[in-house]
Amino acid sequence: MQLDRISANIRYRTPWEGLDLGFVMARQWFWPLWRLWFITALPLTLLAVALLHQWPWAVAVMVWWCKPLYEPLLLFWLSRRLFGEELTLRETAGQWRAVLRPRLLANLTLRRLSPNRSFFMPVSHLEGLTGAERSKRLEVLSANQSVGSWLTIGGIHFEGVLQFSFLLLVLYLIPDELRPDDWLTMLAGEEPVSAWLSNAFALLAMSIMAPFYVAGGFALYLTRRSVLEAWDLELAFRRMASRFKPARPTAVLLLGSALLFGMVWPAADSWALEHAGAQQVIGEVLQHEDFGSRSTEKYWRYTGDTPDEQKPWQWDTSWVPIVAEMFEYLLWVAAAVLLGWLLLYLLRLTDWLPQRRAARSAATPSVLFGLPVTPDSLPQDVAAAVAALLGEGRVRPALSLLYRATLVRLIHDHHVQIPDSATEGECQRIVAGQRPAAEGDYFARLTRAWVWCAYGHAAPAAADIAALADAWQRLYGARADE
Amino acid sequence: MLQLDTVHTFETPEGVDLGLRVAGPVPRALAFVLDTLIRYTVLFVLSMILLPLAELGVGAFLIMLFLMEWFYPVLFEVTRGATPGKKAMGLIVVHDNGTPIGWPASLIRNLLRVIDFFPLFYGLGLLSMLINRQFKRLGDLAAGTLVVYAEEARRSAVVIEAEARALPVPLAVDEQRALLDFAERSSKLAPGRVEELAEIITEERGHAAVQTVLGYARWLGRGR
Repeated sequence: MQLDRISANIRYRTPWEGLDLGFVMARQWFWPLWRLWFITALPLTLLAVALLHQWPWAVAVMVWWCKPLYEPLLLFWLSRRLFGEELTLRETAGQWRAVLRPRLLANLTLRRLSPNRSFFMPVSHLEGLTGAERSKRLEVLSANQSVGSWLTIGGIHFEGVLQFSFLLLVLYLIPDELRPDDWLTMLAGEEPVSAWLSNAFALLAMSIMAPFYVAGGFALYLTRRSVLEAWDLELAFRRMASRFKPARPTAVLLLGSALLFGMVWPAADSWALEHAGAQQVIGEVLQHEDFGSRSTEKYWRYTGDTPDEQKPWQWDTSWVPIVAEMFEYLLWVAAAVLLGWLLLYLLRLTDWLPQRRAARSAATPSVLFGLPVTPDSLPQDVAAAVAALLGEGRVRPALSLLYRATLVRLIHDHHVQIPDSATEGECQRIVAGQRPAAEGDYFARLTRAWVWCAYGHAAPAAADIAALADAWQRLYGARADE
Repeated sequence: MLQLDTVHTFETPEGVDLGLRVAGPVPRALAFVLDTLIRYTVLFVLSMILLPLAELGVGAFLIMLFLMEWFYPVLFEVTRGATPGKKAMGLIVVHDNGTPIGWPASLIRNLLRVIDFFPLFYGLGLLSMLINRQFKRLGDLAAGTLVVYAEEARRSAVVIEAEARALPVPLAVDEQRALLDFAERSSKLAPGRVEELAEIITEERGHAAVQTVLGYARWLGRGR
């Protein structure tokens, strides 16, 4: 199996991220791993039940204690799957003898409580190391980090949480009328039903956590090796190699051999060092600060009791009621302020405040469809200006002036609210709705004439415009003189 | 080919892929435990000061208890990006798109702790984290937040002791970075392994190969 066939992204990771990668792996392949776990766990559980059925707690302890028996198969399957080889359950189970054997006795006795069980498992099961070699290897792999132990500690607690969550969920789902009053004592008591229920959920919780635990340790191991052996750099370099050395395809070929990954420890010969020289080099590498560290630990030591001569000291609490009263008033003030603010906020939202309304209507548009509609933009005497323009024969500017003047009067003298996005047609509808009929009719006529002139380029007769100007003088002229 | 990773990529409108390195249940649980310890230490100290003060003290303590229970994570997440426990584990809370978390999202994700806690000690939250692709508990799902690692794995600055050498071929950015990484990490790798790596991209052998690759890295480094 080679590194370029690995189905996990190889990059420089912290050990914590390595752990998380394991959880991703376990989720990806959860169902095969879960079933695989039961292949060994279920027979053992049945055996335990058959042997110890009088003592439910003993069954739980035995099933729990034999965990190292169920996990190697998961690791074996996972290590093959990660490098693209998908074994069936039958094929995996067929190899149980070879897979389970390494260090089985130690794992079930002395090493059972080792906090690094899943992190160290790949070394003994996949690299096949034993004895001093193994412990040296573990030292290198676990240098300067304790993530493997945290995985175990987390796993124990996660299992407990899941087990009791399931148990409680079942209890919650029992209707009130059927639930025994003192279910807590029932759980703690000698009732066999609850004990077996608890055992069943413990088995379920263990089966759920096992893939995550094994994959977490495995991925942590891979991450550590990937950092120590720079797998990410190897992959990157191999991708570049064809451009650096286009003529030599064979050079790429054998490098994967350093990463052969099976039941034997691969790297020893691929570094091409003589055995004697290798010992020395290994010694030098291990001397490096990355493979171990010196630290000073400070701790407290009990040096005996010193007699406590101080009298028990009393708080002077006479000031407390005063402070309390002040605090109460402060709270009332705060409540009043909050209430007031809320009211104000509500008023502003609902437009009930007069100045708010004024402010909104004051926002009159200064330009409508490209025409300036401010009082300043008009001549003093509009009717005269229109007549003068007509006299010069400039019909279009005259009509424009008249139309603008009408809009300005409507907006500024009659406070007609026209949004600045309105079109001519919308203006006409607004005016018709808000002003007397005479003004509405006039504005309709004017708008029609203006639209025809502006967009249709059909200029009305000068006499029509003069008539409109007269009407304007009647309707708005007086106001303009004020 | 399937490439498993813990990275959640978010593509910005500009077409830039942001890689967020999502954190799993174990570091998050440890961060939670740390936070709980901090919270209860503060509450313990407060109780020593406040409880002797008769009813005012009890009232103030209960208010503090309420605030610490519900707003301790919110306050720290919004102002600092993460609670002290998460900071200690190198974690930070962000929106799904990588932006810093704000009040609404933080309030939602922390108020929903009640649901995650159900039925016992975050049972539902744990299951959700194990199932979800981005290790989200239900509060994270509702608020659209992620808990991610804040910093890149630490790098050390090194002086490259080799003669600068021009690259024979043009390289993409990540490939250049691989060369610089090689220079930074080569002192920490086994010497034989360093030579083996260097020989992948040079015709030379042994120490000369390493010097060549280090030379490329130096040449790249000077351009920065």
